[in-house]
Amino acid sequence: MIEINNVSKTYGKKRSLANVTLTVESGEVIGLLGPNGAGKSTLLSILSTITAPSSGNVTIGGLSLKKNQKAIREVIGYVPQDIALWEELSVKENMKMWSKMTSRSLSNEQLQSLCSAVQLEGRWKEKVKNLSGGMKRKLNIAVSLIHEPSVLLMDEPTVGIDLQSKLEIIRYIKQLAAKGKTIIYITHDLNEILDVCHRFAVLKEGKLEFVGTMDQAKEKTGEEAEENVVYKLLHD
Amino acid sequence: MISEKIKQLLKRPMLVIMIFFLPLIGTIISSSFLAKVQSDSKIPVALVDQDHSNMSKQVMDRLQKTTEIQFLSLNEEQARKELAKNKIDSIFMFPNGFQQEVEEGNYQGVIDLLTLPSSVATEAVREVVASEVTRLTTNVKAANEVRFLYKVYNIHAGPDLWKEAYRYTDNQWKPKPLMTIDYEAQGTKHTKQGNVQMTGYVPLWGFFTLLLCCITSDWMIKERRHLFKRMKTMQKGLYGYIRSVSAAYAVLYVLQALISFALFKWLYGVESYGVLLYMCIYVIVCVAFSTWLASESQRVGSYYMISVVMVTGLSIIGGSFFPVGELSATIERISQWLPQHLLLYQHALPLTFIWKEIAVSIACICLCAFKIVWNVRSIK
Repeated sequence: MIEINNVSKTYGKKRSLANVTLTVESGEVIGLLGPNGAGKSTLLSILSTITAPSSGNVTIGGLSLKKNQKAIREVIGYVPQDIALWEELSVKENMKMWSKMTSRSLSNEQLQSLCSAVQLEGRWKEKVKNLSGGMKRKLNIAVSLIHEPSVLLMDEPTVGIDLQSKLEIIRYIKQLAAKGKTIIYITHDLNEILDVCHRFAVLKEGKLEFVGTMDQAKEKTGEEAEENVVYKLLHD
Repeated sequence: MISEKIKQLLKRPMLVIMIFFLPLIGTIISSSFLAKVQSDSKIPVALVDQDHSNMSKQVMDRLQKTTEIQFLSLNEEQARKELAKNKIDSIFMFPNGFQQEVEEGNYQGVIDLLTLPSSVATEAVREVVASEVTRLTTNVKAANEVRFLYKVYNIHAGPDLWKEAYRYTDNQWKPKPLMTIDYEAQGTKHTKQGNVQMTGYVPLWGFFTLLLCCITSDWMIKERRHLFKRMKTMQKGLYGYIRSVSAAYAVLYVLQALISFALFKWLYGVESYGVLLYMCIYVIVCVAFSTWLASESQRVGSYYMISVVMVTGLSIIGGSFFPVGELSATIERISQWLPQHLLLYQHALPLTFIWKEIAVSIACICLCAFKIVWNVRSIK
């Protein structure tokens, strides 16, 4: 379970997050929606231990983010928006390098089966720079799963790729969710929210405007069409 | 992680060639070039022997052994032509009757000197030549005096008395006759090995190695944007990653130092293992320095430019190219606090621990590591 209590983040005079409070249950998939600069990535950076919050508390699986950074890194898997891979290295070398950055020592077979799970079988020895955008995205996700984290923090994992790869990734995320992984998922795509997430949260100018299911959102906004619901949440 | 990174680096043939051979090739080419320049920069002086006697030949032979001045044996016509073309600095002529004059104990005006207004070496060469003539006349005078005394005291003398007395007097000029004193700059020790001065190529190697370290540290900039963010979320952390990659490079550069040392030993006959020790310490400093420099930079292009300027500047001040004492005493004092100082003058000494240089190197590594941590901390 992830508990975010009154978390704020300021960069100089600019406030990126303002008193955000959110609870995510184990095994839940929650989508983060919001316009650019709303604070979604900042929130994910705080949860993934990249940035420290200016104020407030975060606990992941009962571990305080301030005191147990190392232990928290054992349970979280972070999928950045950028492709965080060595382009000059092969899929195998990338997987091995990233596995060396974890506390677990995985065999080649284990790493290879992880690649197969994201449909990268047959690409094991291929250099990353020769892979398509979709394949790179899949490998980007596979890397975050090397140490078998229970919490996945995904920052727009399907941005800028072809439809087929996007559908494959969404299907894989659903599989992960079915296995009980807790996932926080940033996206701008409403369909992905509807397809993958149990609940969604709307961030606007650093403030949490809404958290709940689509039905609750419809009730709150009085709109029926999902697009209108989200539009109203983002603009009202 | 370190071994994995080393394996990866070794799979890049261009990088391997660069790390292992570029400093070596650069050093060998530059040092042979410098040796050539050094020999070309000797002041040419012509010697004209019109006497063709044993003594004139002896003086000329001795002069030609002088390494600081290039003595050319020419005939008068050639020498005058060369002087007119300003290709030589001056002409020293041994005229007919030179030996006779010397044997009579005369040393004033026994050699003719031709110079130009632009001649720079005349005074110094005149001293050298004069001392050689003085040596001869002294030997002759002493031998004559011995022969005279033998006659006065009616002592039986062998047929070679004069020659023996001459030789004996000549030997008094050894082991350090005026002509063969090794001039040594204060604090330096020059030992000739092969064609190149030993103080020349190890500091040059230091320059090329530091330059290459800076080039290969560009990973710090290239990986920062995409990889460092994720590194921060991994168990080993970003610092762990930077430490491992730097260590992997340091291992490769230490290997490079070993290979370079072996080759220097083979080519130039390095004797002291102190050189190897300080080469190894130096490469670790280089890796720390270049990683820090890269951590300060945002763009690869500007980083390369700044690196070249900084490395060249540090190498000049550190004495990698020439003794900085020639520039100024202040720069020489500064140079003693630079890591390049580790590589100066150690070749000729047995393995001695130069604590100040080692302490400076350790301080440099610590300072760079601290600054890298500080710079990386701000990566969001």
